[in-house]
Amino acid sequence: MSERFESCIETLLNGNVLCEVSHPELYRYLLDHESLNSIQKFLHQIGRKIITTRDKAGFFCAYKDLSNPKHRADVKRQLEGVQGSFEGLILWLRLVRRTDPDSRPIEAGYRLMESELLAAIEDSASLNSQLDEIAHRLRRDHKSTESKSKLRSILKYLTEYGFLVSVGGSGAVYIATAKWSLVYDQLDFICQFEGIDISEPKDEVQKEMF
Amino acid sequence: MSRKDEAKSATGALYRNISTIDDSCFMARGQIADIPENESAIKSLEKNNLAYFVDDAMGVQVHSTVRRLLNHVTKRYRLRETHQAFAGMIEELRHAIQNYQFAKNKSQEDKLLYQDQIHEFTLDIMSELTDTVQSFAHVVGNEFSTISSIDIRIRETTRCKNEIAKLNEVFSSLSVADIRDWAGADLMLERLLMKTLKSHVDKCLKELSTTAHRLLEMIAKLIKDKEVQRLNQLIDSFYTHYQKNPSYTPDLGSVIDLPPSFNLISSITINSRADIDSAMDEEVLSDIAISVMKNVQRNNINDKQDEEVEVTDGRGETIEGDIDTLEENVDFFFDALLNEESKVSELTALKAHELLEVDAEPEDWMLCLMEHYEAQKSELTGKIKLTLDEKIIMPFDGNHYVRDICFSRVSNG
Repeated sequence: MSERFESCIETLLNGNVLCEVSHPELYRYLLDHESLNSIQKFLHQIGRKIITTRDKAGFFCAYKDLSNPKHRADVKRQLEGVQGSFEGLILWLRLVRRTDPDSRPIEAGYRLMESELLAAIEDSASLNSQLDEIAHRLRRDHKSTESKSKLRSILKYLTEYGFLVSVGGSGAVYIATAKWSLVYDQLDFICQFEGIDISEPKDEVQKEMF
Repeated sequence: MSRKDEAKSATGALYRNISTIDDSCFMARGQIADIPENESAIKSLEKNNLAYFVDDAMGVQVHSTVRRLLNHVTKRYRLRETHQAFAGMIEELRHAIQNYQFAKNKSQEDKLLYQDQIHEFTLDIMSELTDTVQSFAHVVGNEFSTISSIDIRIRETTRCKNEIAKLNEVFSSLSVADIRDWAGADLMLERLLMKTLKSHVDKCLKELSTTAHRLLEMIAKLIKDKEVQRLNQLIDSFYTHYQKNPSYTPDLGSVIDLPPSFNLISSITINSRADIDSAMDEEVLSDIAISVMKNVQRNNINDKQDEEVEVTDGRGETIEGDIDTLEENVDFFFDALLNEESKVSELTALKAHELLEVDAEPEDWMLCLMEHYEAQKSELTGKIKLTLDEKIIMPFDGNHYVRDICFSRVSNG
């Protein structure tokens, strides 16, 4: 067994989303069909399996069979943990998109510069208020009055939870991981299950002058 | 009317009514409104087979040949699937060549007729291919910018890419070997097919290949744009939903089949211990052990140095200690034997255990008595004699089982 096999198994069983940003070497290892098969075979023996996000940007470990009540309870517990953070994450996605010149949303590989974000937030009252709301929703340093402190705290939270990877360890540049792909997959399912309309908003016709 | 007169009349009609024709072709999909102002133009075009009446609702339609001519001269390209047309043209050329080869040694007139046909078909293929290449270049240049739907743009671009693939397939029948076979030993055919046609086809296909590559890039970009659009819609829809329902939290408790995205395992940390019996790892393990011991010793020294011991002045104080009852009973036992006034001159351990109600097992009691006796041996020798009630437990005669110990006072007199 290779070292990469061992690292892959350990990383996956730790509950991480493995992608080109977070674990480049292991991600490339999993892109090889033979390696992926050997990992899958091992995980099957312990009642688990490897799954990719829909955009194929990340790999993660799942239970092979959810009919097992213990596994189901485990998944339910995790579900309760994540669903509370969705609102904060959506607000964050909107905030970052507003600062992007092409209005691109965060995806795996997206680069974030703390200084650029901070400059945009400090220049805009609405972005500042959005930051307050995010800090409140994610329970991060929301009592602080300084935007810089709030932003840093949110970035730290997102790094700790595997959404971002700090580049060079300086804390000034971050790259988004495939955990966002997982979030989008989850949001997609919630939309379908709860009947939330995601169709393109229709252009409203202005009927009269205001 | 002669052929030339017909051609003159038709081009004259086009020339005189070009303004109406242009408007109809580029602004009304080739339709000419059947109104009095257009009456003379309609009459003139119909007379020369350049327009025809459809019905009262649609009016008069300009012939597609005229529209194609205008598109061609104004470089206004519309994508058409041409691979079948090319296949037909190549087939026509092949037939004409076969007929030419057949007529060559038989009839000079027929030979010239087919020779003209070969020239015409060859130049038609070349001209059509040039148009096709230019129309694809136009697609790449404009990227269907007038179409707003990303889905339609993806579909159209994919259609272009597929059409190029089909064209490549059609023109693969024009290989050097095939053309050489067609030309045979005829110098005219060889020059026309091998030099003129083949070089033009190769040049155009090369351009098409570059265009196809660019189209692939366009498709990839469009698909990316579509994904970005979808994600943005997803984010905005959720945001709106949260705004409308401030206390909203997704409730997936009733979901029976959870999707893979929610099937996340809880974290497992894999721990292992070293195999201390492994000869292979002996060296590594001993290094680790030495290093750990050094650390432990260092820590102990540090702990001792760091430990603060509180010292209290206990001088002059009386410290009271409780005497252990077992020890007290041992003292009673020997006091009873050593007291000369006592009537007891002999006492067994088990008897004393019973009399003193010793709170210990008989074996422990006997050991305590023996320990005391051994500790005080120098003092007690000559005063107390000790006899063991014992038996040897076979098979080894060195095993003695002591059942009781008898202590007896040595009489002085």
